[in-house]
Amino acid sequence: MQAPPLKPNAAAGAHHHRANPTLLAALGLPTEVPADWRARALTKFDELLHTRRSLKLYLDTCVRCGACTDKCPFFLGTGDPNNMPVARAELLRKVYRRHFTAAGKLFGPLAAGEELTDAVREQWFTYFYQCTECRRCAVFCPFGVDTAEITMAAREIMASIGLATKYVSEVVDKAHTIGNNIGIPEAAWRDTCRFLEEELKEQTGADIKLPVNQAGAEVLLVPPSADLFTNTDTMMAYGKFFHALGVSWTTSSYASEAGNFGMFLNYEHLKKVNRRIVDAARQLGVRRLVMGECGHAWRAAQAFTDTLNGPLDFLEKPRPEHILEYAVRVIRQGRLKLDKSANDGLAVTYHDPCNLARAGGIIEEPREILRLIARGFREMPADTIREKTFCCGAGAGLLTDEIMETRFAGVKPRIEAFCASGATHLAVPCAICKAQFPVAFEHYRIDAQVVGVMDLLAKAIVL
Amino acid sequence: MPAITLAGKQFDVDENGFLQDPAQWSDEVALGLAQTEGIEKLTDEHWKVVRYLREYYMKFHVAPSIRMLCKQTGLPLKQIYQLFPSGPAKGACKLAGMPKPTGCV
Amino acid sequence: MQLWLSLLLYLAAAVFLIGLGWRLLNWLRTPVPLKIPLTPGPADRRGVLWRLGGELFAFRALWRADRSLWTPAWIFHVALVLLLIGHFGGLETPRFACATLGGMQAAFCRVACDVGLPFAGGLTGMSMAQFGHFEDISGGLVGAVAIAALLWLLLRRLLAERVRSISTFSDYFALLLLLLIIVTGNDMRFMGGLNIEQARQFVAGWLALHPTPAPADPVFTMHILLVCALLIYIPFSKLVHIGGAALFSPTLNQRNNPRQRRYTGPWDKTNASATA
Ligand code: HEM
Ligand code: SF4
Ligand code: SF4
Repeated sequence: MQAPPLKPNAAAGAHHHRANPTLLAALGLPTEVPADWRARALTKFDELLHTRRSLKLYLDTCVRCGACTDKCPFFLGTGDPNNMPVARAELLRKVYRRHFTAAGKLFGPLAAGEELTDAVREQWFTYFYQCTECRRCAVFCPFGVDTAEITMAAREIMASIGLATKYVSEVVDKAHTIGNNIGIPEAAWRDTCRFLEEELKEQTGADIKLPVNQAGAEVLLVPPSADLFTNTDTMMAYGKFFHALGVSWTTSSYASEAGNFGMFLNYEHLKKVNRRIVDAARQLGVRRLVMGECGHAWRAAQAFTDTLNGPLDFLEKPRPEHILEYAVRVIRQGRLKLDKSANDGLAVTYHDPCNLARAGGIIEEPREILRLIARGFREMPADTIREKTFCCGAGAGLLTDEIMETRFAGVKPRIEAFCASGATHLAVPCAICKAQFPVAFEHYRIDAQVVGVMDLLAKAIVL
Repeated sequence: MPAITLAGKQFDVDENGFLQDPAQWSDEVALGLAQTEGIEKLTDEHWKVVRYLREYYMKFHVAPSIRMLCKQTGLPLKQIYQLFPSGPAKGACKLAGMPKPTGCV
Repeated sequence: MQLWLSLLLYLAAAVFLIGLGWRLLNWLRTPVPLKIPLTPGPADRRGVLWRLGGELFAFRALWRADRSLWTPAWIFHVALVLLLIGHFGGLETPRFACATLGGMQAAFCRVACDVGLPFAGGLTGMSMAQFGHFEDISGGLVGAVAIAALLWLLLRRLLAERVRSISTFSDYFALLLLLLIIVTGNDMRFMGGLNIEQARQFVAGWLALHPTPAPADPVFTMHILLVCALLIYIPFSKLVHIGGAALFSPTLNQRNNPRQRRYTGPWDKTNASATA
C-alpha cells in the first residue's frame, strides 16, 4: 500500500476505555494512577531495562534509518506519524534517553531526551494501544528492532501505575476466574458442545462428539473460546476432524481458552494465563496438547509455555502442536479422505495471522491444506503475505468498539490486498481476525466471507 | 460511572450503555434501552430474541452462541441484524440487560 | 611538536574501546527471558549464522524494506570499512612502521609488509612504487564514494518527509561529523598540502604505541580532532550499532527451536528449573 502523507495527530483522539478500579484490583494492579506515578514508572522501566535485552538493545540501537516507517498497518491506515514504528518506539526512547543515558541526562533535549510528563504518559496510553504487536516492522529493520517488544514493555510500565485498558483487563480477569476470554462457565460450555453435536448430527448424520473434560483422551484441544460463541463452524470442524481420524480428544472447561491476553498486559499475567493449559493437560492425563485456530495463542503456546510453565515432559509429545500442523501430518499419512469438490465455487485466499507467520512459523501448513481442498485457492500480493503479512488491525487488545476508527484504519492495507486477490472467501485461522474482518468488510462495503481453514477442511472430509 | 434514566429511574451503565446490574432489568427497562439503540418499537420478534437471551443468561451467566440464538429463536442471523442493527452481541444483549459479550468477538 | 594530538587520540580511543565494550557487555548481560526469534527462522546454529551474516554483510532486511536506502547505506558502510582497512592494516602504513620501529612492536607490520604487499603487488602486477600510488588513488576514490553516499543519506534525511520527521539532532550530527572527517581526509590527499609520508609515520607510530610528532598541518590536525570527537561520540549515541547490534538481537540471533529444546529463560527463577 502506498504510504500516506503525514497527518500529525490524526489518531491522537483514539482512546481505549480505561480499566475501572475493581478490575485493576482483581489483577493486582494499582486501582488508580498514584501520586508518585512518575517515580514508580521509572522504577519499573529500570527493572525492565535490566531484565529484557530486547528492550534495552532496541532502545539503544535504532539508527532512525526510516526503513520501518511505511511498514506499520496503523501508520498506513491513519497517516499519524506516531504510528510509524520508529516514532512509536521514540515515545519510550525519549524518556529512556532523558532518565537512563549519560547523553540524555547531560544534554536533555539536545540529545533528544524528554521528561516523563503527564502529556508523555497520555501519548503512551494512546499509541502503545494502537500497536497490535504484529512484528511487521521487525522484519524490515536492519537490527531486528521489534517494536512489539517496546510496546509490551510500555504496557507493562503503564500497568504498574494502574493504567490499563478495560478490554484487556476484563478479558484477562475472565481467563483467570472463568477460564476463557468470553467468560463461558462450565455448564454453558457443556451445553454449547451438546448443541453443536446436534448440529453436527443434522449436517453429517454421524454421531460426532465434542467431549468436555474427558480424562485419558489422546488429545487436549485448546480452542479460542470464540469457537463456541461466534465461530461455531470451527468448533464443529475440530469434532468432525478427530471423528474422521478416530482419535480421542477433549476440551477442558478449566483451560477453555487458547488465547493469552496476559501477553497484552504484562509478563506476570502472561505466565498465569498460560499456566491453566499446562495444569489442565496434566490433570486430564492427555498425551498431546493441540492448539486451535488462534494466532497469538500459538505464539504464547509454542514459544513460551515450555519456558514459563514447563517442562511438559508428562506429555507423549512434550510440546504444544498446532491444529493445522497436526492436520497436515495426518493428511500426508493418508489418514483422511478428502473431497476437493466440496469447496468448489469458492474463490479462497489465505490471511496469515501475524503471530502464526512472524512468531509461530505456521506458514506453509495452511497453504498445503488449502491447495488440497479448494480449487479456487489463490494468494494475495507477495509483499502482503507470509512473514510480510499485514495485521488484521485488531490484535493485542485492539478488538474493542471504542477504537473502531483505528481498527478500520489498521485493516486497510490488508483489505486492499484482499481485493487485489479477487477472492470471495478469506480463510484465516485466528479468532481475533475472524471477529475483525466481517466488521471491516462491511465498513469497506466488500461482499466477502470469513472462514476458518479447519471449516473448509472439515467440509472436504468424507466420513 | 455513567448513568442513564430509563422509565423515570436511574441506572448505572458501562461505557457502552450496558446495564451494570442485570438484576435491575425489566420489560420497561428493555424498552428504554431500545431507545438508546435507536430501535423505535419492539415487535414480537424483538421480544423473542430478548427473552431467549435473558433466559439463557439467567441460567448460564453468559450469552448463548450466535448459532444457538438463531436456531432457538428460528430467526436467521440476517434478520437478527435487521431487528438489532448493532448485532446480536451488542444490541440484543444490551436490551436483554446483560453485560456486553467481550473476548474475541 | 604536536605530541598532544597523539595523546588526545589515545584518550579518545580509550573512551571508544571502554565505552563500546561496556555497552556491548551490558547488552550481553541483560537476560533474554523468552524465545522471540522472528519466524520463519532457522532452528540450527548454522542457519542463525547465515541469518546474521546476511544482515551484517548484505543488510538483507534493508534490501527487503527500501532499496533507495539500502544503496547509499550499504555503499557507505563498505566504503567506511575499506577506509578503516586502508588506515590500519593498510598497505603503505606497515612499511613505514617497519622502517621506523624495531622489535616486537613491528612484528605485525612486518607480516603485512613482507607477505601482504608482495602478494597484493603480485596479484595486480604492480611494482611497489606503483602500488603505493594506486593506494593513494583508490583511497581517495573510496573516500569520494563515501562522501557521495553520506550526502545521499543526508539529503534523504532532509527531503524524505517521513525520515525527516523522525530525525533528531544527533542523526544529523553523526552524518556531518563523518562527512567532515572524510572531506578533510580527502583534502589532504588531493590538495597536496600535506606530506603524506609524515602522516603515515604518525599513524604507524601511534598504532605501535610509539607516538611521533604530528605533521604541523591545520587540515591534518582538524582531521584527527574530528576523529577524536567521533570516537568519543560513538559509545554514547546510536553509533553504538557499530558493535554489531544485529548479533545481539534476540529476534535475529535466537534459534527458532522452542519446540525442540526447552528454553528455560534463566532470568525468571520461578520457571521450573528442570530442563527437558
Ligand atoms: C550490523 C551491521 C550494520 C548495519 C545493519 C548498519 C546499518 C546502518 C544504517 C541503516 C545506518 C543509517 C543510515 C542513515 O543515516 O539513514 C547506519 C549508519 C551508520 N553506520 Fe552502520 N550498520 C552496521 C554496521 C556498522 C559498522 C560495523 C560501522 C562502523 C564501521 C557502522 C558505522 C555507521 C556509521 C558511522 C553510521 C552513521 C551514519 C548516520 O548516522 O546516518 N555501521 N548503519
Ligand atoms: S528500521 Fe530499525 S533502525 Fe531503522 S528506524 Fe526502524 S527501528 Fe530504527
Ligand atoms: S508491531 Fe506491528 S503494529 Fe506495532 S509498530 Fe510494528 S508494525 Fe506497527
